[in-house]
Amino acid sequence: MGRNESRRPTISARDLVKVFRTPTRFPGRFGSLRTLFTRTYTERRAVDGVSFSIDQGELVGYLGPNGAGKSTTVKMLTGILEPTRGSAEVAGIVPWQRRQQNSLNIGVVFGQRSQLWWDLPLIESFELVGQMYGVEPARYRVNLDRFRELLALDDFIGTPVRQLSLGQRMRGELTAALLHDPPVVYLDEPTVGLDIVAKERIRTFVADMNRERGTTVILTTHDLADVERLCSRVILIDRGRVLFDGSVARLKATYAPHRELVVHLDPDGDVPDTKAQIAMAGVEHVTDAGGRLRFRFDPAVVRAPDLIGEVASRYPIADLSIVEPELEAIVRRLYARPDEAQA
Amino acid sequence: MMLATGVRLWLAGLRGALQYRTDTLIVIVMALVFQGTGFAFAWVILTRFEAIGGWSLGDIAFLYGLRLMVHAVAGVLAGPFFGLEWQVRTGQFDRYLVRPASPLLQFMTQSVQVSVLGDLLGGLAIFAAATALTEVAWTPLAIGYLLLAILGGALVELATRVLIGALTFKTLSSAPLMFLSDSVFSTYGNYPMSIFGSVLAWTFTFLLPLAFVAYLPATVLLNRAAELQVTPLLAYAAPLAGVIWLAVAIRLFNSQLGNYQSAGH
Amino acid sequence: MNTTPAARAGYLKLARLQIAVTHTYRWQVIAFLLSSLLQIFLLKVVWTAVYDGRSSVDGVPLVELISFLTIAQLQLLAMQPMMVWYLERRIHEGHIGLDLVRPLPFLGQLLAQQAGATIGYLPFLLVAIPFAFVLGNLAPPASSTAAVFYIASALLGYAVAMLIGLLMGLVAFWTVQTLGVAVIYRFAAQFFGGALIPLFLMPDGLRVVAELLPFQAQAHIPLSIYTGRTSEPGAIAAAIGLQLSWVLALALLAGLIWRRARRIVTVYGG
Repeated sequence: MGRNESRRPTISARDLVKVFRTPTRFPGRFGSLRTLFTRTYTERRAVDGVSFSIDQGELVGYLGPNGAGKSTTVKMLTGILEPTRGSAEVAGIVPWQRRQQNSLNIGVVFGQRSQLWWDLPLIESFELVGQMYGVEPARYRVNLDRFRELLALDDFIGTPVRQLSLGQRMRGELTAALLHDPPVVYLDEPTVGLDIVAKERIRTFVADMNRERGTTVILTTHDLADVERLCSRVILIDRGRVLFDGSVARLKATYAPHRELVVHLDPDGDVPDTKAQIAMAGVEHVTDAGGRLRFRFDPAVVRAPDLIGEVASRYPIADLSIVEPELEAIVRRLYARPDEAQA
Repeated sequence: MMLATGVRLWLAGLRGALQYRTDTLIVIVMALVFQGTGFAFAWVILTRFEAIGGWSLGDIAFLYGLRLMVHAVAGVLAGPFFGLEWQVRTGQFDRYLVRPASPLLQFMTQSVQVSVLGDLLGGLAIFAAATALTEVAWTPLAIGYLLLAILGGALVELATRVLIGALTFKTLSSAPLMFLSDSVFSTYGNYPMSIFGSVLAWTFTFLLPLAFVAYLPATVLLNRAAELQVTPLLAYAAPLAGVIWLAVAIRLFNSQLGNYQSAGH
Repeated sequence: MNTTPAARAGYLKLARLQIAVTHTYRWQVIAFLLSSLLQIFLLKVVWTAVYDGRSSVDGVPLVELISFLTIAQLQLLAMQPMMVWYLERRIHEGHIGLDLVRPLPFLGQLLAQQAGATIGYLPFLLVAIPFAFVLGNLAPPASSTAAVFYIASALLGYAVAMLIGLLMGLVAFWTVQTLGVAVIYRFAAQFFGGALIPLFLMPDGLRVVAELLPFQAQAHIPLSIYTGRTSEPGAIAAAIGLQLSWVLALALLAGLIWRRARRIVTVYGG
């Protein structure tokens, strides 16, 4: 992407560690008094040696259960937190050392917190942001008009932010974060709490931004539909460590290689004793209900057409479909059994 | 550039605060009432007792009015600090760290405490009454010194807030300390420090620079510099103290940002 | 008011929560204690300077005056009207709806929390009292009878303070920022309560106003009993009677306003 092809990754994190120290809370009746006089601290390793590098133009999903260390990592990359150990660079700048310079290169959207001016009309937030980032008036106009169109802002651009619906506010936050054309954008749960239509609008917008402008996007989300739709690469983190870093396809292939064949039986046909199994290696008869059969098979062992042929020869088929593994199921399994993940 | 940004941010904070129209009026009136009772306290004492530490009603009013005007000017930027600990604890402070402007500047300008208008009006009124009761020669030099003293005193008050605010990132609590310093400034800043004894006077000059807020400049203008327990030179140079204290405070605040833990996850 | 075992358990839980909150942040607690101690110290300095070497002025001994005002400050340590802040915070954040939906009457919730806050601050009273004593600020009560009636009167004063605090907090349903109200209330309560300048040292006009207001119930009335200014049985009865009337009047007012406030729930945000 772009004429300057720099070998250096846009974002690089090396062995990032973040330890939070809080005064120990004691439980029980006089716990609160003990807490007052105590000097011990509890340490929590929110991030425990995270490393990755991201090139310009990538759209990466950053996944993990709550408390996994996602937000903490992003906060270090955006300069909000200083790591306990380790290093990172974003567009050549160490974020926590040169915060303001780093800010010029990034846009951040927090799903749960607003960066807009709560009591003022939305348009004023944009003007203030434009001024803060030193966006030239001409470019500001062009960008603003583009966002107004893409995100349909005109209906509420004059409304105070505190009166906006969540969907409207998120569109405003996105605009504010992108007005200065940052090469790197962090989206922290941008679709949380939104309805389907709003979610799709935001996803389309993000995809377009990444494709047309080559913006590097780090998307932190719980919504796997976001990931399926947008991300070519995912980084999974749990308990402060990276469990997986690679493409979505590889994730599926590695952890859930099975596909399913769903067969709808013809009710008028000659249905044999359904207890009869398909005796093929790599095939498992999964469920059997309401005239429907499901077979789980490993595509590395059995080719789909062969299985279909075998099933068709035994059962009268009215319809069939092949179901891909669900990302959600894979991720859920990984969170529950992190030892299954490769280091 | 930073000045332009600061002014625009401040104006936005002002516009935001003015959205609450009924509240704006109430708050200004409340502030006026507050100042009234505050001064009433000193006045009541002085109807029964002729002087406090040798300072008559006119002298006390002079000091009080001056301090109030200083407080008003400081309030232009010092208002949001009571909310700092909440913003730090909940991670709301994050937003200032990801924008290309001083986090301190952004924080201070997020909203403007409109009640300062009440403080200013009250201070002006009391000060004006005091000038009638005292004999101050208002030469251009005196007026110039007065203006500088008001500005310098305001910087001292602001610097104190910033200094305490700097602690918030580590301790997660600063509002009580701010209340403490605010109450000390607002009550004991109204008295001539000659009544405090040398230890306290020294503390209020070099540790918590309350003396520079109004007392020292007042002694200069009221020609009372001779009764000072510290060298009069300090009094003449009082406005400068504000600049120094603020520079130190800003330095410290920025250095503490590394201790910010956001919402802790 | 709901007093089933379940309700009582609910109130206890809320109270305990406030106690824990009071202790959660060490700096907050220490700073608050320091603030009160500083006030006590400085009031002695100021009044000593004001008396300018005299031991008594207008029949008011310096020692009694300082003791009066010091105990008023100590009482403030225990009477923290946290409701003003709490209500404003909850309304501004839009969480007030949650509180209203809990299976306990809202007023009961507030009172339970207030009680919890007071209990939470009591240990700090324990530190402050010896400090005040060492400073020489404290004089003993006028008599053992005075001590007993003082305690009763102080409790009534506490009830008055809580009710006024509740009223201030309810104002938050109509205005968005109640910070100004809270600050002024604190000062006015102390000033007109006689905690800053005893009412008997005020000029007549002010004193009359103060005697019409409820704030005197918090400081002036109980402390006058303590120092022996109010010592005749008739006077003590009248004083306590006045406090009781204020408790009643304020409770009624609070109930009325609460009924109005309930209909207004402004939730912020989309």
